[in-house]
Amino acid sequence: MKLQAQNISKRFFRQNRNSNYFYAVQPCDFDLEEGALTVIMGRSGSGKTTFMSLLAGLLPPDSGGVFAEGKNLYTMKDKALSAFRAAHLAVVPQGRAALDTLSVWENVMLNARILRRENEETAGKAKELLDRFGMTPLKDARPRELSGGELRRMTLCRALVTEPEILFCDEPTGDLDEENTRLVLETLRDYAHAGHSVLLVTHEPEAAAYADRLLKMKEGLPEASDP
Amino acid sequence: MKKSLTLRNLTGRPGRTAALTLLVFFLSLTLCGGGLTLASLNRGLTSLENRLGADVIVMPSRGALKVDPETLFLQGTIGPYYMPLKTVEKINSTPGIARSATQIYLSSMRASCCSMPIQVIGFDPAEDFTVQSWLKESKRDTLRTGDLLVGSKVNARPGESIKLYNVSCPVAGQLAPTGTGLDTAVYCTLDTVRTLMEAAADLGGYSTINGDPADTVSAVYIKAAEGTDPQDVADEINIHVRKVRAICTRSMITDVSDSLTGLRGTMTGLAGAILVLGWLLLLLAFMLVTGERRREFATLRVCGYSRKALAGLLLRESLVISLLGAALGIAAGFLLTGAFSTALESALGLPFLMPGMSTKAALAMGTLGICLVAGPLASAWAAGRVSRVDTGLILREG
Ligand SMILES: Nc1ncnc2c1ncn2[C@@H]1O[C@H](COP(=O)(O)OP(=O)(O)OP(=O)(O)O)[C@@H](O)[C@H]1O
Ligand SMILES: [Mg+2]
Repeated sequence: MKLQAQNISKRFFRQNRNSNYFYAVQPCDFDLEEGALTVIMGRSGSGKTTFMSLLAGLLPPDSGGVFAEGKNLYTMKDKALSAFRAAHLAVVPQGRAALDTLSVWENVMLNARILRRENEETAGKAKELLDRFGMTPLKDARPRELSGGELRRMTLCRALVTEPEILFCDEPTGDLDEENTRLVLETLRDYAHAGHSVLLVTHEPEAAAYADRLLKMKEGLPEASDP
Repeated sequence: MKKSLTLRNLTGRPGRTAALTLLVFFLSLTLCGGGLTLASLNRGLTSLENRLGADVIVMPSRGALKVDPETLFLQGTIGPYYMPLKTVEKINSTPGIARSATQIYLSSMRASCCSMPIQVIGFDPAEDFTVQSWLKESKRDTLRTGDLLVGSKVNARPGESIKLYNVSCPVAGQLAPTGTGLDTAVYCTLDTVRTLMEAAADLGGYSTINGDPADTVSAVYIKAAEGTDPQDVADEINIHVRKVRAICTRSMITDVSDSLTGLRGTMTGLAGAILVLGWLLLLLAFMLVTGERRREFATLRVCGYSRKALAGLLLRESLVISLLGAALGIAAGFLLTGAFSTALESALGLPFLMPGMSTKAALAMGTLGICLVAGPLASAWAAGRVSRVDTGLILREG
C-alpha cells in the first residue's frame, strides 16, 4: 500500500526570539513507496520520530494530510483510523513498548490478537520470527526481564507477525550487536522487497547500504540523499 | 480458549488485582453486612410485635430474682418468680380486661437429672392468646399434656425426649425462630410444668417457699377490652393489686422501635461514610494504577486500539474486579452476620432475626448492583484519561 503525505508539518511550542513556535517537521510532501526500503537518517532532534509519527497516523499534523487509498487518515474518526492502522500498518517505536502483564510470546502475538487472527498461521509466523532473532528461549519471560536489545527484537517480531503492508521502524537496531544489526537490516530489506512499504529511522551508518531510498532529515525537512 | 486481554491483565498482576478487589470487598461487606443487620433487627421487632399479642403483662414485683420486664421480653430471659392464684383473681377482676392468660416459668438445672439447663414455659392452650399465633406459624396448634415444644435453637428433634428433673418429656415439635432467648426455651402446658415443679422441688430446682406449685403462676398476660386504654388497665392493677407490677407492652415496643430508629440512623450514617470514603479510595487507586500503566496503554494505542476500545478495556477490568469483590463481600457479609447473630443480639439487647430468603436475595442483588456501578464509575475518570493517552510517550522516549 502506498502512503502519500501532502504538505504535512508539525510545530511545537518553544519560545525563542522570533516566535513562540518551532517546526519539528517543516511543510513538505512525501511518498512512501511499495517494495522499497526507505531509510531516514539525521541528527538527534532533527524531527525523524515526529515525521514518522505523522505518517503513521499517530500524530495529527498542523497542516496537510496523509493519504492512503485516496483517504486522508486524519479526517477519519478515531475508531476507523485505529482499525485502519491495526489492519494495514505496524510501528516499532523508539521507546519501550511492551505489555508487562503478558509474556514475551503474548506480546509478540498482540497485533494478531487485536486483529482476531490468533491462528496457526500467525502462531507459526511468530515462532519462525522468534527463532530467527534468537528469542525462542525467552518466549515465556516477562518483558520486564528482557535486556534493551531483546526488547527491540521482541517489538520487531510483533510488528512482523501480521505481515502489515506498511512498516515503520524507529531505531530498531539501537542496543544491538553487529550481527543482530545486520540480521534486522536484512530482514527489513527482504520484507520491503516482498512488496511492502518500509520506513526505517536510524542512526546506524550501515543502514545506508541496505536502503533503496535514503533521506537525510535536516531541521525538520527530509532531503533526498544518495544511497 | 484464549483468555481475553481483560482477564490476562488481571491475572498477570495478581497483587494489583487483589488490592483493588479488596477495596470493593470492603464496600460490599459494609453494604451487605449493615443491611442484613438492620433487616434482622426489623424482623426481630416485627416478630416481637406479632408474638406479644398482650397489651399488659403482670409479674410479681418481688421475686427471688429481680428481672427487668424489658429484658424479659426483648431478650426472652425469664426468671423464677411466682405469685399465688389469689393474686391472679384480683388482677382479673380489674375492669377493662377482655382476655387474660397465665404462664409459669421454671429453669432446669445443670445436673444429671436434666438433659440440659433450659427455661421451661408453661401456658394454658385453652386461654392463651399470646403464643398461639407463633405456634401456628410453627404449624403446631395442639399440645398434649407432657409434651414439649422446643425453641428453634434447642438441640432436640421431634420424636426425641428431654429429661427434666428426671421426668422424660417427648418433644412434639420445634418452634419458629424469634431472635430472642425464647429460642432456647421449651413450652409445655400448665399441668406439665406443675408436674415438673413438683419433681424439681425434691431435687432443689424449685423452692416451695414460692408456694405450692398448684397455686402459683409467674405472669399474667392481659388483652384490654375494646375502647379501653391498656395504660389505664396497667395503672389500675398497679394501684389496687399488691406485690405485682403491670407494664404496658405498647410502650415497650415503642421504646424498641425508637432505639431501632436511632440505631438505623447511626448505622446508615456510618455505612454511608464508609461507602463514600471507600469509593474515593477506589477512585484514587484506579487513578494511581492507570497512571502507572500509561506506557501499556500507549502501546495498545500504537498497536491499533481505538480510544473507545481502550476505555472499554479498563471499564471491563474494573467490572470484573467489582463483580469479584462484591460477590466475596456479600458471602462474607452473610457468613459474618450469621456467625455473630447471637453476639449482636445480646450486644444490642434487641431481638435479632435473620430475614427471609426474598429479603436476603434483594439485599445481595442490591449490594451487587451498587458495587457494579461504583467500581466502573470510580474507573470511568481514569478510563477517560487513558483513552487520550499520549503515544509520544513510547514513540520518543528510549
Ligand atoms: N510533544 C512535543 N512537544 C514539544 N517538543 C517536541 C515534542 N515532540 C518532539 N519535540 C521536539 O521536536 C524535535 C524533534 O523531535 P524528534 O523526536 O522527532 O527527534 P528525532 O529526530 O527523532 O531525534 P532522536 O534521533 O534523538 O530520536 C525535538 O527538538 C523535540 O524536542
Ligand atoms: Mg527519534
